[in-house]
Amino acid sequence: MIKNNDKISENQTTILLFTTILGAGILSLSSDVAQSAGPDSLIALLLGGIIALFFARLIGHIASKFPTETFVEYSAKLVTKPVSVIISIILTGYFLIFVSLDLRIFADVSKAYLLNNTPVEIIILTLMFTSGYVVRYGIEPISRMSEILFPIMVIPLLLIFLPSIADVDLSNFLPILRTPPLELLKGILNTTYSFVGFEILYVIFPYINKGEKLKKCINVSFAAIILFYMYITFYVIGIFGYKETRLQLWPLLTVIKSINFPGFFIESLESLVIAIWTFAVFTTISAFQYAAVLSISKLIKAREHTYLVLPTIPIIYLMALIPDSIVEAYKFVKYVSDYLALFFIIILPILLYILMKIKNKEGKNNENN
Amino acid sequence: MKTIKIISIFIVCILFLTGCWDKVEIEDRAFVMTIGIDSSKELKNYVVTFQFPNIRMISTGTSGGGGGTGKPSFSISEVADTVFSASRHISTRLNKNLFLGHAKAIILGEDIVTNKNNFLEVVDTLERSYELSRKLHILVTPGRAQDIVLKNYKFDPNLGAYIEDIFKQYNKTSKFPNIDYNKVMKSLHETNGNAIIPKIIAGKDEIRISGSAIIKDYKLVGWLTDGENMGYMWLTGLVKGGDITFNMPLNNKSVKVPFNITNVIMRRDVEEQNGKIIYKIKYDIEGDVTECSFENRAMMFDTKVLNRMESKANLQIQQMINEALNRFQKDLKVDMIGVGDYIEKHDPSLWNKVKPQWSDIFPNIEVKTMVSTHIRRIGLYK
Repeated sequence: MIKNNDKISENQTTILLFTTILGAGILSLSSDVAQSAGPDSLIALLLGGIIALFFARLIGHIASKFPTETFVEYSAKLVTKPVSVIISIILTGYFLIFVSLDLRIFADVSKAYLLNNTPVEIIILTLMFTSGYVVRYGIEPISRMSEILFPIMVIPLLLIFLPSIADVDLSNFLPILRTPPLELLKGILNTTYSFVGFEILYVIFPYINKGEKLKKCINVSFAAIILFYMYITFYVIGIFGYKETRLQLWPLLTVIKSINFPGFFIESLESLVIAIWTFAVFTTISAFQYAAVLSISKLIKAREHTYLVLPTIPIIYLMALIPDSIVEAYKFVKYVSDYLALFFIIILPILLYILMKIKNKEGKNNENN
Repeated sequence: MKTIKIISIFIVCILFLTGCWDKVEIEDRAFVMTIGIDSSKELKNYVVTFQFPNIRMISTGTSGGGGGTGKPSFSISEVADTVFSASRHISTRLNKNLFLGHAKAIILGEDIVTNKNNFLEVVDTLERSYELSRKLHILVTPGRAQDIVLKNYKFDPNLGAYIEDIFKQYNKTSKFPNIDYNKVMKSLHETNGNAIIPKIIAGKDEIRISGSAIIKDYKLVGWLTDGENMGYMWLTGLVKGGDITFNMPLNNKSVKVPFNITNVIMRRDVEEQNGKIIYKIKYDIEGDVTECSFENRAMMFDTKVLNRMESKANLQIQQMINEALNRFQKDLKVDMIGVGDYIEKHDPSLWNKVKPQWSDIFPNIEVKTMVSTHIRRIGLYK
């Protein structure tokens, strides 16, 4: 390993955010969007992304006011100490649950498509230990890993769709904006959850080299991820229409199956896509696991986080095996995004922001007195 | 001590980090190219037939080794309760692993599509399969699929590749719709059980794909003949090529003139006039005349004659379209020509009004077609 100074540069922050947001959800993304927004899926994605961007900027803004502290420490200043401990524990739990659900979905998909005879437990454990190995070394190697995997993930996925551009039927996106406004609003809110992953900003701020550049990093990575999501959804809904997309479990893989790749005899592109998607899942879970381990180490005031990595692995492993089936796993995902994600990406930032303003006012008043 | 450590690490690596649990040797796999599905009269529900090429023959035959012996492809039938279990039960009789990922065609027997339950079961199996590609072609045969799949044909013993290559030339005739599995499924989902599926007939040692089967409410309700099929394709804008023949009176005689279509542009519009929906379709068709009577030298080099020919061609195409329209509106009373879809996308407020009784409204809508043909080329002689 290259010696790391535990600081990540501007580019690394951008790419880390991108790869963290791009996770297991990409397979079912178009289906979820089509369910709630119908033909206006692209618009819903764009607006949902902008809302997510706003909250990401809010979290970044709050964190930048406490440049040397993670969420665990600065929340103690804003909300009282006991409340902050409780919220931190829930946040850590949320990170761990997220990792385990991502892992479980990854394991089920790869078992169905590629590894018919391999037990799910083995798939989960191998990826878990790989991620644990990177997490032990801290945030800088994780970002470097993301940097290496980023082009491997994005470029093939961009190219793989190009042969099917003739099959895209643009009339599938009509009628524009005829969805009832309330439904569309719900759809936009639902798509906001597709951008889950920027919560790591709660804890990683102290490790960013130039904190003042964080705004730009968030903007760039969100612009990239919104475009990327829209690109995929454009093809999926353009080829299937939203009525069929709604019914599919993993429309991305189904659409890959229907692409005629010209020139050479590659038949099963979906295995290639699952291989790429493995990287996406890996970068997501390593970032989340790091965030969880870091929060724990701050909670118990440990000097370093390395020896806390291994104990989290059995916890994640057991949690990943809780859902009985893929259906139940997706039910849990829905619960997590409906309650926990809603709290951590929308309610909590607003709450903290208001408290911060009040504290600032009090501070100014005290100085004046 | 150190050497022991290193050696033990090596042993652990060799034991645990190599190999693959899911490997299948390529010669142990049967790459199924065609699947035929029939219903069975016996206790079990289905007769499923698989055809796969003889891998050994392909791999050695190309290198000129002459090691390949036996038939170029094998077929095997199995009776089972479901399509999936048939593919599993075959392993009791076959020394190979069936792999469906390369399937190119699925042929349904007539008795599958005439029975709603059977059709629903089969379609669901296909949709849920992890292996099946979505690029395959789904076809219906009047008769039994088994009879088609069990044979070897002279042009290409590999039936799946044979069917796929025929589909590549669909724009030469427009006698069968270029509809693959993807489009069939999409249509079934969007219209709640209506679809058009190409028809396949087998001769003695060749196959023919022409015409199509009409599925309404997950059941076969009729067949489209070649001519009606072209009319249907005009209505849905699938025509990209093909030929029509019209009668041209020249010198007190009627000459049959073939017109080869090279390009079609279709524009649609819908409006409502005092409670009646009017669906307008406008065609701009380009093409060339490839044949005329030998006696009429230099006749063709005259724009007046060409204009007359164009109007004759217009009439011919109109007639085709009207035939298909009558079939769908009066006979079958089912919207398969995308009118409802068009209204939903381009005039949503009207669609909200007509949607509940669409199946009753559709037979009474007025369809106005405007055809304008342009003859661009006349061959090599005046």
